[in-house]
Amino acid sequence: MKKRIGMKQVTAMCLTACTVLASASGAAASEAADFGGKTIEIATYLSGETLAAYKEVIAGFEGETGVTVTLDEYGDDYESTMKTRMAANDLPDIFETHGWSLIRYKEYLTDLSGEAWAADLNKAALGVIQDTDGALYTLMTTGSCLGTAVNMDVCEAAGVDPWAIETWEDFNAACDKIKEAGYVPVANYFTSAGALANANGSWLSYEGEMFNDNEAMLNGTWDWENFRTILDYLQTWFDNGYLYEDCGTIKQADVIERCAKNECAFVVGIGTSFQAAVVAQNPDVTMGMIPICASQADGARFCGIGEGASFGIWKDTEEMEVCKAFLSYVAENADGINVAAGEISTLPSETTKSYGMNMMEEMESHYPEVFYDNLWDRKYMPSGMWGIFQNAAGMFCEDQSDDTKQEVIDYLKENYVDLYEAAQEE
Amino acid sequence: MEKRRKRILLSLTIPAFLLIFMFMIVPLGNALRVSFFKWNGYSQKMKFIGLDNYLSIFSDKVFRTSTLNTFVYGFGSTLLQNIFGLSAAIFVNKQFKGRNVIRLILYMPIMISGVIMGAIQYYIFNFDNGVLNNLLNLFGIESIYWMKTGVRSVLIITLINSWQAMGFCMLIYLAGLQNIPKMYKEAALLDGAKKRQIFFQVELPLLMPAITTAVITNLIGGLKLYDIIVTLTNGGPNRKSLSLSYYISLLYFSDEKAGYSAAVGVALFLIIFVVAVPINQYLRSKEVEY
Repeated sequence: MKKRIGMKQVTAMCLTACTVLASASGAAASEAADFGGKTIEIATYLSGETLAAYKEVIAGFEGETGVTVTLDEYGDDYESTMKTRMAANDLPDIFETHGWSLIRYKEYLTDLSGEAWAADLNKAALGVIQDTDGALYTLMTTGSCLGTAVNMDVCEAAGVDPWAIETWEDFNAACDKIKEAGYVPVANYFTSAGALANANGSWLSYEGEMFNDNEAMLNGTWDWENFRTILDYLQTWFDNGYLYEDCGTIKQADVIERCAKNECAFVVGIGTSFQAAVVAQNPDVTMGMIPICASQADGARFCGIGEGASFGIWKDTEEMEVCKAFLSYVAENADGINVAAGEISTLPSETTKSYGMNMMEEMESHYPEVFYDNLWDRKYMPSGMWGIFQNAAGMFCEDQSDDTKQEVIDYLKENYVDLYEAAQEE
Repeated sequence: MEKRRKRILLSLTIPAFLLIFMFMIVPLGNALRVSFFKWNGYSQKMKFIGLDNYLSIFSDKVFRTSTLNTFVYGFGSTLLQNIFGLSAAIFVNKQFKGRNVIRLILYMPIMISGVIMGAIQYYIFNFDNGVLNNLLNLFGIESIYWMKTGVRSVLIITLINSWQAMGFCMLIYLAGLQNIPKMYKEAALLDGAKKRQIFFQVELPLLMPAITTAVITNLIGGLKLYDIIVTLTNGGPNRKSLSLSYYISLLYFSDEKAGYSAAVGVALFLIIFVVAVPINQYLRSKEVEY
């Protein structure tokens, strides 16, 4: 197990250094006052309340510095638009890196390791965004913590104690009780790659688990045969009737709605913003989070940490100093963004504990041994595999026969080899 | 004088030619170039692989399914849109009270964008709490998982697309019907022709220019169908309701196979060209002068 970062470390680093940036903020603002009349372009995928909070930060920066910010709100088209802009080598001055600062965007980003705020980023954040040579390409103000979302009300009604769940065997036993009580145990949806990608570390990547294939995954020699174990396990969800009948066509918005109506109990491998969205729809629902289950007794209990709201600077921007001043300003004023996102803070500037942070602390009190690692696909898979996992999830959802399992494995392997080779040629 | 007129007319076409060149010829040429490369769609590095992308098309199951779906969307929608569009045009061409309201209602769906139409239909056909299933439940019928299979999804998309574009067809046919001089119909009546004979032997042949326009526009629109699918099924279940247009987009942006995506794009261009041009020529040959 390479990177075990205790929750207490994460929380302590986030909350004990609140005052560190207070003095720096005044200096940064006065420096930034010379930028009047300049214009920068910022691209964002944020939406809803998080976007509103981000806009407030931008307005504050504009007010203090006289800089004009052009904000491109790409929403769901963010990735596609950014890919076309990368192809044209014409990027916005500042853009969000949403988990891909190292694998996808690195060649277009500025190394920010020398910035003042870089020293304040907590270890959980650095574990996700720092390159092997120490370079840092993004300001990560929030981290996405990915575990198993739990509808506590449904569990209580079914007589299930979610905190007692340790292994997948325990998880299935809980699901049986939930199903018996008339609820849908697992609300995972196979229109998302997450169904087939987010929990994989549980079997494949950590000490004490069934396999430890990390090295082979990272050097391109992985044969994917051990992935069959995951498919065999997921088949039990279908065979035992744990899933929604329309799990092959529903979207996250549907699952949020159903969870808010207390119809279902668990969503495996999802970030805390999911629970926040459920509670926003129905404040009476109690949501919680448990780690991803272990594949066997005494196995690793882990949660994924991914980039939440993360901002990088285009290496060819003509306004480098303005952009750096903007990121400093965001680092000092990220509190509103963190609270709106419902994720976990990675900077000591957070003064209000977010919904996600509270949830993590509650989980940590029940699972003191939980550890955090980068999102599995972002760490062990080449860029482009997310879409491939999504297709594979659709294939598997339609048919769980041995032939389809082999087809899924062959499909994943073929594309992994292809994308790995492409990444090596970069 | 005639020479000067021709020169003016020619110069008026220059902006259109420039736009076609910039937004059609150049992208098409670039797609053709990219189709010979292995490229993830955003890196500054590309690897020349010759015809490999085109050869991959032959072993691609999703391409086969998407091509078949594309034909269903193209021909299925064209057939339904024209049958119902022509019927609606004949109906609203008659004099009756409230005719303009009916025309407006029939035309309204085409004013909604395909993306929004798909999103609306998603909530109608949703298995859990969908409008249609709620209605069925009222009559004691159990909910139906409308999008369970690819075939069902493709048929539902075809029906929705046909219904949405029917108003456009109706408008073309209505204009065509109103352009037919009354004297032909009156002459046929004097000769003792029945209503059915007047329609099939007088009006329909004279409607051929409108039929050509409607069929070709609908066919090309159906073969390029994209927006409704994105929001209604997202190509699912298991990529079984994809059209080639949407498949191209997924290959490029999601699977990061831009070179292969370009090759499929070239294939789609050829398919539309090979299908639409002969049909257009055949329909034009049937047009009559009056």
